[in-house]
Amino acid sequence: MEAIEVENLVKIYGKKNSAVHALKGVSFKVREGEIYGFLGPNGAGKTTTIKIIATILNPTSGSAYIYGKDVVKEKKEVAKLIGYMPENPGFYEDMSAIDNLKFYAGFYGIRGENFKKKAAEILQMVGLSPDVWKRKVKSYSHGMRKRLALAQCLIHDPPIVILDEPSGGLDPIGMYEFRKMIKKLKEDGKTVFLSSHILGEVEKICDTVGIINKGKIVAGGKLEDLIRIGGSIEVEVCLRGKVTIPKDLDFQWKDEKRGILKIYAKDDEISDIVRTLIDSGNEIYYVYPKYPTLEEIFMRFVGGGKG
Amino acid sequence: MMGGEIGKIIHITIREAKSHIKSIRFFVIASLLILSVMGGTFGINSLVQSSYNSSKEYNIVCVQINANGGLNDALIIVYDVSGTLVDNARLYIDYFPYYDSQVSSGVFIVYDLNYGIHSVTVENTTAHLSILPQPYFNITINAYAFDFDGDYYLDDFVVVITDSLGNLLRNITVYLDGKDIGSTGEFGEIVLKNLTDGEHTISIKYQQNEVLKKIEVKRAEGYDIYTILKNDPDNVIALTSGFVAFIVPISAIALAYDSIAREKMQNSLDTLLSKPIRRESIVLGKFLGTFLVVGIILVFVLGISVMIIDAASPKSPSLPVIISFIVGSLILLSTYIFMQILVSSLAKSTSSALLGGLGIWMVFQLFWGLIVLVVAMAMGIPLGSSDYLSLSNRIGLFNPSESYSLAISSSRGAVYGIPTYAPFVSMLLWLISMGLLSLLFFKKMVDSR
Repeated sequence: MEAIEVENLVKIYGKKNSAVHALKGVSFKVREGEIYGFLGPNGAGKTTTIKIIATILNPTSGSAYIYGKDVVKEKKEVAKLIGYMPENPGFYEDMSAIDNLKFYAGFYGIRGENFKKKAAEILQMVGLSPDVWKRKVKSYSHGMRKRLALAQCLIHDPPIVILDEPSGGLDPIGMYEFRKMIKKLKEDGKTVFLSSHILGEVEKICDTVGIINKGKIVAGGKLEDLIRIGGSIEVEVCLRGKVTIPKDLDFQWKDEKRGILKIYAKDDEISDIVRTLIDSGNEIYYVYPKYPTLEEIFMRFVGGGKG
Repeated sequence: MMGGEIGKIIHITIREAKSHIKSIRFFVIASLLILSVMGGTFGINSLVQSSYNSSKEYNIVCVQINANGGLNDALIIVYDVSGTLVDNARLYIDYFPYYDSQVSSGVFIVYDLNYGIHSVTVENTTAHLSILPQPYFNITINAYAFDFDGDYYLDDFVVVITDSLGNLLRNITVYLDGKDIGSTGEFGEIVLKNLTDGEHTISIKYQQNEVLKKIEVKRAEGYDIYTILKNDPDNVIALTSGFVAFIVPISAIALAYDSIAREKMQNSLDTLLSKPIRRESIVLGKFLGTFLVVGIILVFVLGISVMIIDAASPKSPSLPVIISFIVGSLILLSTYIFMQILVSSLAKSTSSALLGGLGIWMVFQLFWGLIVLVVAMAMGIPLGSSDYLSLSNRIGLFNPSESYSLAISSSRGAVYGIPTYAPFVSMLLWLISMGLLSLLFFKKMVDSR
């Protein structure tokens, strides 16, 4: 079942003469229970897309659904199904962490003993110790604010969690702990939709990835699918003995003396290339396909440019 | 609206109100509100009381006359509360002593004054004397209304008769409504006491000419501002409302200026918007949070104010005026809170929201008179004319603070140049339009960031 379904989203800011087309027809689907990584350079449209899904912004056209509910027409129902953590979480600075949490929980009717129980459970889960719960938020560090932001988005136990740059600005330990928390959310059966600049992090925790650039989705799907869609892989082939290169083979020598070739091919072409080399009388010592990292795929799709 | 949504509005209202109550600015605003309205009420009442009492100590007649060949001298007659001439009164003109100028018991002639307005003081009582280049064009009957018999009504008169050169006309027969009531004295004066209500004619016959002057006795009103106030608590309320019109918008601006702008600046707005609550409810909750904390203090202060005014006057303020005063003040407060929420939605920072609010307040409160003046000049309407007053009242309907003042005046009777209902309609339109606009701009801002 699709937890999130986005169809041809368009968002235009400003008026005719100074209009900015932030989204130019964004479409994707997020399956229930998966962790979806939403990637893109600055200004590509990530936060705009997230804000539309989180019912904060209305799209100019197109539609988005959370478990089949329209984010524009059924805002309140959608808001109950999602937990949203903004990129730069803000709180009421003059209130304590627990009072902030109580305020947000109030919108879901979570009060009294029920709130106390849930708040204690979630604050401990996000790594905020009880001695800081009654401290005013203005004394909180960036990392503590991020943890509190995650707590506020989980207080009503939503099935879908939307995280905008969850580990942005965190130290390595903080990032590690956040990754663990996100994995735990998946284990608990939640669908996680997150945007991130840290591609290594996305590679480690996401099942599916979508890449947005200049307001359009340029690639999306399972990581291995992206590799296939993304074009050629660098394949290193080491030959032994007499080397006979087939006529049609497009290659480069990496080390001619040692018989090492560099061939660029698609994932499903590798076996054919190996067969051609063997048929030409070559003895193959090893074949090493160098799969691209997510960063390389990302750079390939966004062209290294800013959105 | 559904029950759940009302609960969410209350939820935001409580947070907003708690946040205000905890802030230092709330205490500053609450103190200012209490001090200014209560202080204003006490001040006006004390002024009325002391001025009335002091005006009761002496009654001073000031007439420009020709005593030594020039028309720049003055006749000053000082009576006590009962209309008896005061001997050896300590007279000051423009705060300089003129004891020596007494020419008879209670009568002073002051010579060679500069043209202009002079203050004439006896003990605590001050009157004003105008010395003009050409005050009289004919024989003139100068009539001065007093309350010599202490019945709170200005139904006693001192009449001084001068010719066109400012000479005092002595021994002239004076007629009241055609009946001979005696002759003028040594200083051209005659005293009439306890006249009945309505219009009266004072006349003289001099060198075969008849000169008339009409005077009017209105038992409900009178001609002296302090006597009017003493007998008209509604008027004291109207004067007190001036303090309210000044301080209430400031209170609304000071508390609501960051209602939306701070949410934007501290990044809590996105989190709030992602919660299951309507945009309208957010605006309404923020409005109510500010309205409740200021409104409770305001109602309390206005209630005390009305009680003070009531206690200080022999008459009670009328119910329509009390209702207009309290309800009008709350509508004024609501209008300015919505207006500030609107400004706060448009502003990019809390400081620009505050400046925007203060700017609007300055236009409505401080520069409005200038705007009216410019419009009047453009329309060729002379300053101080009845057309000017009519224009000023009509333009005032485009200003929520002015509409408030006009509404209180309207509750006492017709206001010149506009229908009685107009200020009330204007206040309601201001409230409704500000409420709708604040919501509209909030939604627009939310969807464009």
